Amino acid sequence: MGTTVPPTKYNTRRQTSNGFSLFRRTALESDTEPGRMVLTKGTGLWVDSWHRLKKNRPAMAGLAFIIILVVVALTAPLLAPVSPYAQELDLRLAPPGTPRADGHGVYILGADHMGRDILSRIIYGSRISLAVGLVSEFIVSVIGITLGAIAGYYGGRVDNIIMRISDIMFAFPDLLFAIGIMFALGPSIFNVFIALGVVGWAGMARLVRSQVIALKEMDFVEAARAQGLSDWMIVTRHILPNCLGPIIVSISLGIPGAIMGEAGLSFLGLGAQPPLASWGSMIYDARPYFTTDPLFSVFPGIAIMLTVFAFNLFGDGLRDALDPRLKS
Amino acid sequence: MRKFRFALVLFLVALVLIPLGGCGQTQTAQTNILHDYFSQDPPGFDPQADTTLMIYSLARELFSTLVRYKGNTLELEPELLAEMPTISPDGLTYTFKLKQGVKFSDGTELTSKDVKFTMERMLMKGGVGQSPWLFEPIKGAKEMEDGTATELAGFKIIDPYTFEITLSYPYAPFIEYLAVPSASILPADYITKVGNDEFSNHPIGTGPFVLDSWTHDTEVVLKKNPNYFEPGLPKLDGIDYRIISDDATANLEFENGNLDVSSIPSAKFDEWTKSGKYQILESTPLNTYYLLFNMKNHALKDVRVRKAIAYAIDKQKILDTILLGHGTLATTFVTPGIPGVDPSKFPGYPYDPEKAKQLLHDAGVDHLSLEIWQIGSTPPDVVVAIQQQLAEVGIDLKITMMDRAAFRQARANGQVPMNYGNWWADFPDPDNYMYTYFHSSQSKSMSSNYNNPKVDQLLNEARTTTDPAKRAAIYQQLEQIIVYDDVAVVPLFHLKDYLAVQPDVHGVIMHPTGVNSYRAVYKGNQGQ
Repeated sequence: MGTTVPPTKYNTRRQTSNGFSLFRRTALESDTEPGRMVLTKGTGLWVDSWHRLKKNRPAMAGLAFIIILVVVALTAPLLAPVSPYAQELDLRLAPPGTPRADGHGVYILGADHMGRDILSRIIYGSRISLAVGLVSEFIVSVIGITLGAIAGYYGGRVDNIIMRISDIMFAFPDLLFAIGIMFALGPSIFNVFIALGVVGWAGMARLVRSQVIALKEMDFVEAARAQGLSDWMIVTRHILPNCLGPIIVSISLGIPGAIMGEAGLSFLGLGAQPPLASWGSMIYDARPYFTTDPLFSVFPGIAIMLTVFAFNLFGDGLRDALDPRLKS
Repeated sequence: MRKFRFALVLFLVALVLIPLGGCGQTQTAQTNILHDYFSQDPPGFDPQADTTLMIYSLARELFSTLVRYKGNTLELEPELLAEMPTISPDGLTYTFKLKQGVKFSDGTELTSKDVKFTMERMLMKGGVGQSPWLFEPIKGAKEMEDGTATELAGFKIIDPYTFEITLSYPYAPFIEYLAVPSASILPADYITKVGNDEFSNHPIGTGPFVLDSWTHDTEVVLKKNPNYFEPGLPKLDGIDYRIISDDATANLEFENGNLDVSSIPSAKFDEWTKSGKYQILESTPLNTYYLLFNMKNHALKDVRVRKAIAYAIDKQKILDTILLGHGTLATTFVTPGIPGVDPSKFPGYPYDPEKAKQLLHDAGVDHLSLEIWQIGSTPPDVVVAIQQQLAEVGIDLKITMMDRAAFRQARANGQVPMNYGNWWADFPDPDNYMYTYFHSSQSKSMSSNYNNPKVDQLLNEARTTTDPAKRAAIYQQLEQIIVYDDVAVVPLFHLKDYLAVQPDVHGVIMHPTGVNSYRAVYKGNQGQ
């Protein structure tokens, strides 16, 4: 019945599409055997997983940082000392601690090349980074899950066409492909969402396909089919809920990749356009001043590093927690 | 298998080491080559087919003009001519005498027919010439441009070294036109034989250098022209222009000694000027940096809106900070230093955000969205500052970045809504600024879309006026109408030009028109 490639083969390829990839997705799926977790434990999986996750200190640290980041992003106007766009041109490149000319305190992290408060811009930049991570992963999920489920469930020629397209996507270096899309669409932050989403779906499609192929042979799917349920109902109500674990992990590990992707594109001048503050574009702005004012680029760099690190820790923890075979 | 692996390692090591050795050798062998760079690949070398400063600079090295500026002054001297032309009392007929024995790099001699060919090629309908205005004052030019004539009626060859040009009206700046690099004299026989494309890729000229090789997007190599007519020049054996699109890379290459000449990044201005390691050349060129409005843009239609923008920009602050104070504030569109310009007669637009808000309020637009289009991938800091200053009076400015070709196309079609740009004089005359931007026959192609019959009439009148005092009065009246009554443009700055040069390089001529010359450059003690 259809193509039955062992899921693990595809899963391992998903991790390294081209050796070095900016939008790196860490393998979570490599050993997960689809279906088993559901069969052994049923709905208790989520509670179980939460308990396991709670014991994982690095993952909880990551989660804590992510929560803080979300709060910062939501309350940016309250937290930022001043507007991220207000320029005090007389205080261009002022070092940290310089008093502001308008009397509103000091430049805690210094001023950028337009005399704007770097701290305020980093705080506002968190909005862009989170938005890019969430929106582009949403696009990835919508395209990837839909195509993966269709390919896996129907198999045959449909499967072949979808998977060859995803092979083509894998053959492109991700960053180059994203740059190409940005050139076609023009530089703007909304186009970054689209570019990163369009580039990343192939991995998600493969993951979902392999899960669906394994699950559709299971007895409970057979039972659903015997009841006369439509294909739509079988896939959305019975198969997909059972691959949710790997999908969630894939998304949580895809977010830092998207954040890095946005920073990369903005660093090339293709992402956020002035005066919008994004961490990547801040480093881009700081480029001419690397040797004279290194701190200007260091602070947004730290922000990117901590955020990506936090998402990776959390994602790794999530993977471990959702893998039932680690259960003792 | 193991043997094979060993061989492979040896091979790889060799691969890494060989180029390293090669590098050291080539550098010592070519000490008399000047190393310069361009930020983009030239489109070709035809001086008539493009009007950028890059092509102008290349044309200065590869070709010669009838007259040229003496050193870095605005005073003309003969170049291909034996002496300055004689002008008939009615100002219509110019008689020229060429130097004898001037040879193109292929050995053929430059004569009157090459001059005629050059001018006709520029004017020819459907030809490659981008600057027909240079020869438009000549009698019969209009007919050539319309395609009703194939020969220039006002050009008379008297003998191989003497020719006469008749103008259709007395026009004083005509002699200045002849020094513009686009007016370089080209080889008639060679171009007729090989065609325009081949000429553009393999040019020959009478300049101090000839093209040796051109590797697209990598480098342009010029070598000494052995037939150059000025004795003892050029002193260099050649010029090697690398194509380096990233300024930061070029500056680093200069710091490492791999380039002899570099522009100075503002982040490193203090470091480079104070280190004493380099020569810093400074010139006060004829330029104006401006904010140009498109009069056909709906949001900019009201003169009060344009005036509000002029008052909302803190020009002094931008000049002092972002531009490091390297220049002066502009109060006129035409650069001071050009005959007939008197900046003291004009107040400029002082920074007055309250007045700007009031003007916008009067115009009935308390909040306004505008667009500015710029060339490049990142907005210039000046535009980002303007964006914020306009935001403070309630104007939302969207910056759209475009590549050069797309921008040029849009500008030629009159579509650019607003632009922070600059104009470097081709020759020191107000006509070169005002006619180009604001005569109704030209204004669409610069995207100003300015159309004022009174201004057209004054511009035409100024062209035929020979009395300098009268001309000056007309151009001052034009400044008042264009900049202050109609606010078609906001003049912002006149900026200085700086060049960093390695200490062993001497003789670079930085000219106020922005076209530098390496004709007399020498390195080290050689040539002194």
